[in-house]
Amino acid sequence: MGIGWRPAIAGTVADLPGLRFCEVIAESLGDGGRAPVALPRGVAELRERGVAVVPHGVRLSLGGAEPLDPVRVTRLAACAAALDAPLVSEHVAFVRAGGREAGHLLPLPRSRAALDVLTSHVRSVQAELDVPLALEPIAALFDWPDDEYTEGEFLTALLERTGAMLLLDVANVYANAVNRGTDPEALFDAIPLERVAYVHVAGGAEHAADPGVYHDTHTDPVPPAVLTLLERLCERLDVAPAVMLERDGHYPPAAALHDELDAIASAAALPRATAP
Amino acid sequence: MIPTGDTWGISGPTFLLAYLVLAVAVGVAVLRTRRALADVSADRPVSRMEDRPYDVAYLNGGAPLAVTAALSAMYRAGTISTAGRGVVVAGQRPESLADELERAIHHAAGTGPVSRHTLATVGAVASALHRVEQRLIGGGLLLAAERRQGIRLAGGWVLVVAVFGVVRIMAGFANNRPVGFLTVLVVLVAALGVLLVCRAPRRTRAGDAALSRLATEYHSLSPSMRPDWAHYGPAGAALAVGVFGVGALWTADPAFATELAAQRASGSFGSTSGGDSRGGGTSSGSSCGGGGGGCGGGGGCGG
Repeated sequence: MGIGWRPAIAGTVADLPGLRFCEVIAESLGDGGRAPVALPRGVAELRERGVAVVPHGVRLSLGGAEPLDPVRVTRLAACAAALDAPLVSEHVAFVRAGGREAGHLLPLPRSRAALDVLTSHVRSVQAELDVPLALEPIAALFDWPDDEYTEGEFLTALLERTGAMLLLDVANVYANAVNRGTDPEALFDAIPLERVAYVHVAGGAEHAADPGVYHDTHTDPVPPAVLTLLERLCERLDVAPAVMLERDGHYPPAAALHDELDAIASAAALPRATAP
Repeated sequence: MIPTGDTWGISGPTFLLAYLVLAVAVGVAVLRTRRALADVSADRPVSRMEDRPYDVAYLNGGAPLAVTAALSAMYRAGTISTAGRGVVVAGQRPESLADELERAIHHAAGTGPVSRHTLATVGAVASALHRVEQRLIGGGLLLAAERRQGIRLAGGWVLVVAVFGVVRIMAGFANNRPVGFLTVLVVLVAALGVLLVCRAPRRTRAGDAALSRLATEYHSLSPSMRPDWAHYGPAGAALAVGVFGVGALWTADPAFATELAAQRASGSFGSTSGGDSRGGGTSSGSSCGGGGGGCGGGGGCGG
């Protein structure tokens, strides 16, 4: 079991006796990504304890049409080296276009052209890394009209072409299925589950303003339906996956966070993070 | 020969050098004495200070910080609320096993809105704070009043050296010798003496060590981490304020800090000695006069 390391709850993360791994936002290691890579004390202490820490990039814009920023790529590799990380993860998304920053992860059109660009970007990042790269499909509130692949086809092609691993976020899978009115488990049949490196679980909620639309907020509790989906996923895997909770704000009291971690461990049939 | 001869038969430069050596020697001896006096063994050693966050706050910033830490935790727990401008009112009932300080504050604020500044003087609150102080003194973490008095008095030897310099200046002045350099030196020695007599550390060396250990161990509660107090709960809030001072409150809950009219800078860990206004005021006034009396030599070499 793991959890996303965030400064605001670092004390609780440090106190988890059964914690096996953590994920840290790569761009947060040293002044928003401008200064040299610097490990926060809490992260360094986890490494000393033998807890694996995975740098999770959010700003590479792997799916963007413009060339990758070589400084960001080198920096992600430096993060992996500083953490002695077993792997690195990034998103199947773009975050900037035409020099403008979107401020969050945007979905790609599932076209041949987009797949080609993505493939070439992923390969150039892999060339800089000494460790495997895992790619995370994002939650999207809409599909582009000119999609030529289904999500399953697109991901399968991407992973086959690049040899990358899969960071599967069951909350994203759930959100996409709810918002498109499809069966969340159907995606599991369409993608190479043997390439799953680790699994994200996060909370979300339907907006009061637009009912029926599920938002992957990371600031709400994990809904029971997402835990059920996690259970279904884990039943299909032939390995015990590394599963972690992503929580990015509106933190619950420590006891409630422990309960949520235990519920995830139970759904994934993993040892609890809250017990030694 | 006599009107132009060396004062006391010692030439100005020789005396100046000897006086400098004397001042440095006495200064070093006094600083070492102060350090030794601040090293106190514990009568009743304390273990796991973090379980008593208000003791930590008192150790760090005295009664005001202990009260602020308690109010921060109680606000989280809902046992007090604010009426703005530093005024608090009692909220929900605290548990009967809640900390003595919390219960006393709740009781004091239960009879009507009360300013956070006057809380520490309310009978039950004052006696809870007094017990905190006694625990810290017994634990060898905080210096007892008499011990601080002793530390301040040690500085008196530096003032004696200053007075000796003043005597030489007066003799040199009467002897028509230049006293400028010596005067400058004596003023510096007097200033150091006044500083040492006025100021004594609050904490023992063990107290400083305990605070810095807590700051390392509970780094996750430091303002730089922007800790989420809703997540860490009342006990976390109390310890954050205790270890990291009022700055922790301003970072974690600026709205409550504003309501409480908390001072931004006070009680931040790092200042190891604080002036004691009660003891320092009188001695500072009189010895400043003494130091000033030494001035008045003209330009030229030393005495």
